[in-house]
Amino acid sequence: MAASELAGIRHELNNRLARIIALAEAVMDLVPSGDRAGAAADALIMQTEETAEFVRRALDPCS
Amino acid sequence: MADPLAGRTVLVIEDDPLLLEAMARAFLKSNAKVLVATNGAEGLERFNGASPDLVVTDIIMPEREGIETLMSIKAARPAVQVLAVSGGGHTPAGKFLELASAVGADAVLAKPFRAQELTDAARALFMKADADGGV
Repeated sequence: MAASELAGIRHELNNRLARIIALAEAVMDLVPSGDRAGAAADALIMQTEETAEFVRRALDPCS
Repeated sequence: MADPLAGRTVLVIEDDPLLLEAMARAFLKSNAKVLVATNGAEGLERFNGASPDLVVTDIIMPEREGIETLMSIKAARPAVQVLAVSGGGHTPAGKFLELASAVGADAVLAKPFRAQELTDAARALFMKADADGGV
């Protein structure tokens, strides 16, 4: 796969991960502090950030 | 201490509607006034019509690329604060954000990020500008 193609995939992945974080934060805004849904949304954000780090490590050396 | 974002006018340029809304909401929660645009050409129109204190612009967008928009904004008003955001692009990692810095962005932020990271980066810009006697 060409470097420019991988870079395009990384860009799209990062934008999709950014949307997940934005949606999870919107959920956190809607639920009361301490609500289990808020904790789940926070865990989702952390998982997404870990995925973003994985994407960075996996794709950057190939770019 | 007063929030450095309170009362500021922030222009957010982002082609993804969901991210645009999320970024706008983050600044509204900090009591900033928010203008939005979905591409660089629209962003320049808003910029020329409203003289924002801060421009947050995505770097890879349709119509008019963010780098070109950033350069036009800085050429028109060098003192305006510009925060460039990007998820990467068609050059090696980080290069678009490095390029954004090279052409005048005052700060850069890689996607994905939390709303708090965005507003913290904006606050840091205003605090630095205030300390330097600008904005």
